[in-house]
Amino acid sequence: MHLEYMLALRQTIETQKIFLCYSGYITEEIITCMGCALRHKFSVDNTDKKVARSVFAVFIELAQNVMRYCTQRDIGCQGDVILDFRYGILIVGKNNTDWVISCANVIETVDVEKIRLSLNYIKELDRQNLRLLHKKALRDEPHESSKGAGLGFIEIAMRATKGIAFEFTHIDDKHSYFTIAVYIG
Amino acid sequence: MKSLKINRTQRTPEIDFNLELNTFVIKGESYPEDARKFYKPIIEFLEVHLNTVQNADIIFDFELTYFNSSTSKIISRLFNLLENSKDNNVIINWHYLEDDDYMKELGEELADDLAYAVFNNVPKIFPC
Repeated sequence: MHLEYMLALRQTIETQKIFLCYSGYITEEIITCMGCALRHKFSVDNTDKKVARSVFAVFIELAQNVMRYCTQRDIGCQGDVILDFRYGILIVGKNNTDWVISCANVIETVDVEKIRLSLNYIKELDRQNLRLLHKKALRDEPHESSKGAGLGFIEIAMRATKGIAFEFTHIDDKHSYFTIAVYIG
Repeated sequence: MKSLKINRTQRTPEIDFNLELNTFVIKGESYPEDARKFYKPIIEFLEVHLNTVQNADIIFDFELTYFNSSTSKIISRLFNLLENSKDNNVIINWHYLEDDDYMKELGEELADDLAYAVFNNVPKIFPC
């Protein structure tokens, strides 16, 4: 990256109060390391324990979503081990006093409407109905076909005390960009 | 096999299943990307044992401070197994940090479907 762009990126990071930002292949090891960095930040800032637990949980859930569903990937092998790396952007920052956990990745265009409908539905539910939906999802949802807004998104919504915002951007018939921001305060 | 012991890692909890004492403990944090893969042998181990014993006092302690959504599914499955072990007396102890309402509510939600197994809330002040 040319230096002038580096400075522009640096400025965005500062104005958006981002303290953790990752763009690249997301693996379990990377998620764990970033989780450690998050917890370090919580203890340094003396973050409220409940808020810290929720930010951590949402971060893990979003990151593992990328690992499962992102269609921008590199597949290869190392000996007998199949390597399947999925690409995504993960950001944790602050918006005044609220925490914002955001994530962006490529998904299949065919899944867009299903995810949009589920997320819109989940977003509007009050705590009690969210709990009921969670209970149902825990028992009903087949593990394999949980593609789309399943249990993970319900648990994210339960932690998102200040709401969820999301957006889909059409790339082509096969691929769309999915961005989501989860607010916790 | 008399017991099943697995050490905790950064992403997976400690497993301590003692078949002689009939005590079962899952302790720590659980957020493996593929929870089914990690828990498959553990569930099978428990399933076989529950089908083998009769009139046993089974004590299952969940001492988790954090778990991801795919682990939630597994825990629901474990509750199911324990509830359906009607030939035995099953006690489920749900440990959580005192200020963790989320974990407390999750335990209550899981306990809702229990009719045979006994469920106990065990709030703790310090991290387990």
